[in-house]
Amino acid sequence: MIIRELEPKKSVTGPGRRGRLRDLAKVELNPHNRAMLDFAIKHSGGDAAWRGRKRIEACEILSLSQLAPLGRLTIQFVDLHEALRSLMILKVPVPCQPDTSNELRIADHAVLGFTYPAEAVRMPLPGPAFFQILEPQDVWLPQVAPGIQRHCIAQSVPAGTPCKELILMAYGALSMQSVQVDELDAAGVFNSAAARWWQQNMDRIPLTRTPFLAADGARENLEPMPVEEEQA
Amino acid sequence: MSQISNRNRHRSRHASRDDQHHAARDVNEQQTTRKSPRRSPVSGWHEITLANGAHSPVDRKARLPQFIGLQETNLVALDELRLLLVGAGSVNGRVALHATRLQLKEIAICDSGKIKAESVLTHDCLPDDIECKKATHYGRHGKLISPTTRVLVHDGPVQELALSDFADSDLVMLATDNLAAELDVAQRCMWLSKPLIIGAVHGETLYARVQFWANRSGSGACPVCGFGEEEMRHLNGHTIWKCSGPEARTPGSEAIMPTMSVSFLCSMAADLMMMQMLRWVLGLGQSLEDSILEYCGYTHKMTTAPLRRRPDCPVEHIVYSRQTSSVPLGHRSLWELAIAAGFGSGEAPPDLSFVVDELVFVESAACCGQVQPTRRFAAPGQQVARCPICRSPIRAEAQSFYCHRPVSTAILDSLVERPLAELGAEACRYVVVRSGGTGVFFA
Repeated sequence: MIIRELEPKKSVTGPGRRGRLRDLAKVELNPHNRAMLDFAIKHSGGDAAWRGRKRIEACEILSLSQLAPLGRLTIQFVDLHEALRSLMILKVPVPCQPDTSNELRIADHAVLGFTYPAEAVRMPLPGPAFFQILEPQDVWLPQVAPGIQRHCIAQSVPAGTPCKELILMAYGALSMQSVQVDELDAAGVFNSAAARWWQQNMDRIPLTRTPFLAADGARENLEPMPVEEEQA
Repeated sequence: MSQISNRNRHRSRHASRDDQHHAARDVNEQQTTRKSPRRSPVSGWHEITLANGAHSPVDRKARLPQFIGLQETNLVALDELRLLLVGAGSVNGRVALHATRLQLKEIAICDSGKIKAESVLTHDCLPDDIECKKATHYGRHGKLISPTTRVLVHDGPVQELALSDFADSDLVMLATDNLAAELDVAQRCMWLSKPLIIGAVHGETLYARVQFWANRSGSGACPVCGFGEEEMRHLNGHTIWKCSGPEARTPGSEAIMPTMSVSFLCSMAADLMMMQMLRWVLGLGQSLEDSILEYCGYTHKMTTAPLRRRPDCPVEHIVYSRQTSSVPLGHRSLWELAIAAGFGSGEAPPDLSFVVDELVFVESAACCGQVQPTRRFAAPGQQVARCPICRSPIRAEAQSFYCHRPVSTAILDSLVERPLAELGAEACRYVVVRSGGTGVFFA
């Protein structure tokens, strides 16, 4: 019998290295995230298929937080009892309601309550079904309902859309890299005052061009990424 | 001569139908509808009733044949059968009328649509019925046919029905126009182990198709097991096939495609559905559980094939067992129910969770940055708190981060030992206790 020694996995989350989504499967969870995931899996409910799906989704969310630049995505907790629930901090410029001098206030992060119900696997759900912005207050976006701050990331989210894609959509929507400011659009807006304000301030959109997986202020943010050769 | 007599026959048939129709309308005016006490008041069921003495029932035996191999006592199954019809269009509308002719115990019809001008091409209706609600229309006609049958109607989408509405039925028959409704019904029939018959037509190929899932266990097939890429695409695109065509479309809503078929293909599908139902209820012939039956008009051939479960089917393949609570559920705690379900001996399983009626458990109410603990059950849309800052009412939302359905013991904590009445669920009709990929339905 030939026993081959396994090569140690190359880190894809080291400092200075820009991650790619395709590297997500290669990420080894750090001890903190591994413990969080193991605890959540132990208390996971539902049938075998749903438990399996939740395990994969939760693992990907935690991997994404490691793959992204430091601080971009911090997972506070993951709950798999029924729906997949996670409290996460997303480092992204978030527009808040302008002050009395009509000057826009920008928060540097958002605390998001994320819910991924079992129905999301089998049927399309409306855009506001997944995220609730818990902080900051007075988010000034057409797709965020004032008060309870449910965040609409699309008109309708197709069945089975992975959590990692929903997080990327939320990032794009909060930073206004993807935006819908037409209050007459059939998709609708939750905050028509914000929609009108942004129509008059289109030059301020987007709030950042930094992609989710790029470090803030990196030069590459403004340039197309070079194509890397596939590793053997 | 032959032509004249044919024409006369034609006219007399029309006269007969018109007379029938006017008679139906006359009696309809005497009819009243009332809220059904048994079925969910939030679901909006109405019972069709006739004025006293409006019609006397005819004995079913006057026309029911002596089926070969059937024991007389088995006919009791028809007297006891409670049927839930989802959709009341060109196929299921006819099923409703056929079913009332069998004088079943109860028929509940659910459809949100109205009869349109085009409906006369495919439905069992007349121009005078245009703008009538379909469920009510067929419910009224069914009640006239069989006054002894309890007829309930819900003029709304099936998604509005409570799980207990399915539990109150013995068999579900569906012929609807959208995949989301099909998926919703498939899931609930699976949970409650309710047999499900689905009928459909494909006009261009003259196909009538009937599928039957017994849902005896979670290991069997369900309608969504048969969904392919095309079905998922239509599901994601919110496609709805409507008999009324695309004129009912509202801006930004679903892609609505008209159902194209001839009326007799629709009635063929309805007839095959009824045949399937009769064979299952009376135990006639070979079992057709978990099978598909197709008739092709081009070849006049009929084929049957088994339906197989797809391992990665997105529907939750869990079948709940049933228990009846001797005291109202509002007086019991969730922990008592967990023990009765066999999950509570010793330490609670880590994945123990509960579904309480159509309610959500509102852990907290968040608005304007203030998070107030609420910790009680509420119906979606029900006000649970008021924001101390903006003074807006905060309502329970099924899809909010702090609302749970199902709710786990980890969230409930010590509330699991309090009676449901103290948690805002005093009038709850059912509770599902779930753990380890199994569940118990309490009513």
